[in-house]
Amino acid sequence: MSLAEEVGAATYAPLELRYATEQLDQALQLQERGDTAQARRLLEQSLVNSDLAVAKSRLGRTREAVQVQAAANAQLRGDAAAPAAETP
Amino acid sequence: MRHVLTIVLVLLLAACGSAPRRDLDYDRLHASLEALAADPELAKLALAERALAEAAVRRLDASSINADEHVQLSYLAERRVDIAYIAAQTERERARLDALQREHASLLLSASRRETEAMRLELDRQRQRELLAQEDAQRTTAMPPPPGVAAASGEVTPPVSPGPVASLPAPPSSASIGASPGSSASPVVPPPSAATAAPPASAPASAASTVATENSAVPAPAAAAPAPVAPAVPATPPAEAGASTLAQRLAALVPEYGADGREMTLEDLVFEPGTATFAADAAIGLARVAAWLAAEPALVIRIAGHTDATGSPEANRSLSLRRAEAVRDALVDRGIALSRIAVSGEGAAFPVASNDDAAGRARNRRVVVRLGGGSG
Repeated sequence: MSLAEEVGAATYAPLELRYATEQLDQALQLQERGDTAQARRLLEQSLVNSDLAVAKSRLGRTREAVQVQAAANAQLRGDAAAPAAETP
Repeated sequence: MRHVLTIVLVLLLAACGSAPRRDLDYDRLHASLEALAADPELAKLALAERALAEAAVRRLDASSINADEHVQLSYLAERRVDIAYIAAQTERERARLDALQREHASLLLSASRRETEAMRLELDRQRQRELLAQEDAQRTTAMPPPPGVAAASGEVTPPVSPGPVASLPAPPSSASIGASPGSSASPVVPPPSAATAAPPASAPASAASTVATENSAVPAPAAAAPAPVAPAVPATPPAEAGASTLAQRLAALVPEYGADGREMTLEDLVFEPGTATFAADAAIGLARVAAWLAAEPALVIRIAGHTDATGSPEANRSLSLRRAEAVRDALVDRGIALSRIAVSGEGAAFPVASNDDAAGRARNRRVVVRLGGGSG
């Protein structure tokens, strides 16, 4: 979950991050009450939701980087084409 | 018959009992994983995440699990499949990002090259402008004073057309010896005969008539050219001759002994700045050169154009060659055989002075007409 927060899950996968947080909290409460079986299930769900949040965050960040890079390249290509267009 | 019916019934019951249990969650997730494996773009990406998803789906398929465990495993498997898809898409996006970054680097490199080339061209243009400005300034300083002013001050009137005619028989080497004490102070003062023979009213005489009379006066310089006095008389350096006009300097043009034989040097002011077009007074010098060459019809002629080091080497070589060719054409027009002449454009390769100052650069800009040793 720390990794998920580190890679920006609060922005890119807020729902999964919230699920993971809530499930972890519930698992801890159930463990304190002695319901280890249900606590284990919630812990597994929290873990898989954390992994999903990390995956979504990485995808979101990568897509944003692709968009930024594509825009920068388009700008450079436009700059390169501009002088050529000016020459008769 | 009863046995047959019993067997058929048993077989039907057995068939019903062995029918696979339908698990919609498993079928859906399994089909999703198969679709991922069949996707041509994503099949080879995020293999670790896909293996985790397949393991989760396989656990869902176990027949020993109860309903609660099924719900749990289905929840986990569904998210693992999602993670496998997302991880594969992330890898694909990362590959695109890498390609875009490589393209970005390439575009930056191209832009940098273009910028460098543009800067180089701009620098060349600036140097050319500076060169033209310098030549203009030198031409301005070398402009002859108005005739009235010259006459009033007692200065020798520039011998535009008759000057060379009269001066040819007496080149400055001998002229300086026989010159009056007042005129010997300046090494570029035209011969006294030129000064005395220059009628002010007939100054606008055409260059063509000058050439015609030059050729008729050839024997005199031919006799004077081999005189051993010539090496002692340096050619007039343009930068040092600011006090005299171009016409005066050209009228006093004499051959020198260079390393490769006798030669005459036409200074850069003979041409319009930055071009191979002759200036108005160039005919005077060309006529003297033609007369000198005509006196040695058996020798080959080498004409070499030179520039200073300003500007690009290609432009300098081109300009020097064009100027050498212009001199060749002018000499041919004045009766020199084309077959005797070889031209070359040396650019800035053979400076005779430093290119660090304007005076040195002006000396380096020249066309040298050399009378070769071989017989033509």
